[in-house]
Amino acid sequence: MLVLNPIQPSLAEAEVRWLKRYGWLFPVLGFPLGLLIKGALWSGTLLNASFLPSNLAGWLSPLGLLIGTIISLVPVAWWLMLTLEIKIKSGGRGWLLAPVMACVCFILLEMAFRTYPVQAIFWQGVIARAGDQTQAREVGLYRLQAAADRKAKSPAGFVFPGSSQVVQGIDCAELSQLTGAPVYRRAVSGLFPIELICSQGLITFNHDNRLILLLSGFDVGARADLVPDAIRPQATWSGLRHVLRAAPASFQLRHWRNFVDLCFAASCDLWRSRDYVRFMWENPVAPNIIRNNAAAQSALNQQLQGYQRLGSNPEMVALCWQALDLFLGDMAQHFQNIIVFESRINPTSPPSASALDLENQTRRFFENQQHLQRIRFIPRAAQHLDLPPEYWADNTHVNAAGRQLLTEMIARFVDDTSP
Amino acid sequence: MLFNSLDFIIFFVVVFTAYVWLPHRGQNILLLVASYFFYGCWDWRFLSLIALSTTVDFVASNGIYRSDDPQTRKRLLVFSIVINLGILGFFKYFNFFVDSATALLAGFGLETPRLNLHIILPVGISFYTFQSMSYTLDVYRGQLVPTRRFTDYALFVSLFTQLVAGPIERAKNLLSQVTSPRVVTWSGIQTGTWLFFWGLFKKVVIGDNLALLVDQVFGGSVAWNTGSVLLGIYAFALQIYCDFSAYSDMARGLGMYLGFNIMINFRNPYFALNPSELWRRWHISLSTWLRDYLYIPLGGNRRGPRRTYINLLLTMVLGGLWHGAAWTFVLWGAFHGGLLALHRWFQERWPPAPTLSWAGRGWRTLAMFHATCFGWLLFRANSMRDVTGMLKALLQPGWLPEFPGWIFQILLLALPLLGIQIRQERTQDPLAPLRLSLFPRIILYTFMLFMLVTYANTGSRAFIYFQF
Repeated sequence: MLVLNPIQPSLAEAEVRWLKRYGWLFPVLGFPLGLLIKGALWSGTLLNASFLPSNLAGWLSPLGLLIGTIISLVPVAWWLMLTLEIKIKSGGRGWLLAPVMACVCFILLEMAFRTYPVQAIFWQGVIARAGDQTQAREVGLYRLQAAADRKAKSPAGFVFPGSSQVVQGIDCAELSQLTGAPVYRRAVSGLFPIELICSQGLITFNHDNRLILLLSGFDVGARADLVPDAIRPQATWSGLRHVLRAAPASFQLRHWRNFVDLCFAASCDLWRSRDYVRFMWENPVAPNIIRNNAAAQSALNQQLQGYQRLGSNPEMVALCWQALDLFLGDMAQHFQNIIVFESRINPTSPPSASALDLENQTRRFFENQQHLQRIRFIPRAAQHLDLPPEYWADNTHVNAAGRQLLTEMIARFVDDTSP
Repeated sequence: MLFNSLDFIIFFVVVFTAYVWLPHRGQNILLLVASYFFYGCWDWRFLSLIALSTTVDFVASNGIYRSDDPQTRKRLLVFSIVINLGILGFFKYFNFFVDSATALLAGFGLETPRLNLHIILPVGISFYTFQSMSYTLDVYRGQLVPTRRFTDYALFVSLFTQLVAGPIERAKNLLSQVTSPRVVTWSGIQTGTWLFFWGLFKKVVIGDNLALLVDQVFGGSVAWNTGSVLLGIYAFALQIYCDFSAYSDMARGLGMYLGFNIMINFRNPYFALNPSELWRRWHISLSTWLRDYLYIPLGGNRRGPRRTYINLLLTMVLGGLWHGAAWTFVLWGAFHGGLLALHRWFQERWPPAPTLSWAGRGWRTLAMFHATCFGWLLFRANSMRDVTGMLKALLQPGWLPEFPGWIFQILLLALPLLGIQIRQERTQDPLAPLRLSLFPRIILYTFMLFMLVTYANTGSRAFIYFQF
């Protein structure tokens, strides 16, 4: 068996000699590089690619100087490591030091990634590259707003998480104006109940907030299976634990790989954001603006097919209700109050008998939650809102006129409970 | 169960934990059971094939060893080869030969009924069949004394670390390690960990990400022109190397955990200066197998230059066919056979300089890399029609909006690999990264960890060579 020597003294000496000879290059090249990263590359990587600093002061930025300083310190760190390694060489298991320190570096990277400046840079970069990829833009906006709201002590207002029905159906600026309180939108296409529950950690940031939900049997039965790709970018432990508790052991066993993936995502922000780190690598500068009409048509067809299969997996429906029960019970502690509006779909799509049954059961579920004084439930019948087919853009999303009506209706109900 | 899956990691942790507590014989039994379980996870029905192949070769080799009668020895050898090649031929090549014969007869205007069977190719069949056959051939040649323990031999054939995609081990190396006690050492764990994670990095970060690009080009979902075909070929050259060498590295790494020293299968092949060197660096276990059991028995280079060229061509065509039942693989083998023959012809007339300048090495490496890349086009193309289509497209300049992103991605993934390989090549040490000092190692490990977390393709894409 090959026995490895962690480092040969001659190699260490050669490296020390090299550092003494060429170490000065790091600060000499590091500062210009740092200023370039903060200057030209920074501008190129974000929205304002055309803007380049035209004067010296524009190039001399604190962040650029900080990057330059970090690069300048590389030879010092290298030298310290060399002396450290020579000291521990006789320790026997010195080879463990590098992997352990790499893990420490990774944890530091993770901590840096969680800070607001890095989050802001990163998610702005994602939004800048999104082009017509709406999912990337929505997730980027969601995460950027979540990071900003957590950093700043945002005033109490309404938190409005939800799926594309909220993205396209609610005008948050208008709602904010109508209610006189800030509205924090946390909506992404495909944020159905399980995804919404898992995102709990990103929607709770002020105990005086009020939570608005737009849910119905359509949302509860929308997923035929667990979709980790949809959950991952918003997964947090505070929400994932409800799904884990609600899922029966057999379900957990069958989906153990997905749950491991989601547990990673809930624990490590770099894993949670991995799809978008990849997105950044794949779109280094230029936004992807390839318009894909075929994909849009395919999405519409999938939406229609999905509606036909509503609630096709009773196990998922049961999991949704069970997890929602735990989620709402917990949310009642984190919010001033919770208002659930029963959502609706285009009346031209006649619901199947099973879909109607699911709608009724979900309505009863929310009525029961109201009975437990966790939420205030506004069923469709109580909304006094008529949305005929001309107010709909497609099967599930309202158009601009429908958005206006829906927003006003919600404002009417939440106005008397303004924070 | 793929090496890059959570299932395998759990499987290995369980096996390794039990392994370190057991005595030598118990370790062998455990590994045999684990190997059959591992193989059965793909399709338990094919366990009968590996068991049949193992039994036939064990019985035949012991019979050959005990017998003094040359006729009996020969009959037993032929019996073993017929059974092994029969299984391989039926499962891998039946439809290919039937299709080819049907097409040939149709060319003469003869209509034949369709004889195609719905045969599933057992994973790794080419690897374990060649490994098992080499054992019987070595015993027949008197180069090896057969083992008397069936379980030891069965473990040699089925050891899960290298069962499905090699390296194609020789009994002289692996069987001797099976029969003698092994030691699990810290040094082995350190090396094994590095090899496993380096392999994992190459597979899930480099190979699987480039596969997305390669599939687009070779699948025809982007227009073919000079740029797209070239980028597709470069990406595939990196992908196949990272995919296959990753499996070999992971196999070696896992072997080191268990105290095995599995042979090196790749030595930075894209640094080769000529075709002959390429095959001393690429899939070493197959090229040495073909050399020892095909090229040399055919006469090697002992029967004059013309026969040598024919032997090289024939060996490489069969090597190509080993990879898969398609004419593209035959063409790929013939291309490499032709390159080897051409190289030999040149060498005989203009012997190479004993030492080469930096520039001389550089242009030879680049030329050989591009010749290899041309071979990869033949290898990866879905059909002969695609081969001609892509070759024509190479002469049609064009630009696609995806190109900058592709070039960036190829460079992003190739540069870390190139950095490590330059170091390995300069030091002639496959474990060169482990011998770096602390600071560069921390940077390297952190980079690998970061890329594994953020950029690894977690789609559990199977290794390319599993299909062979």
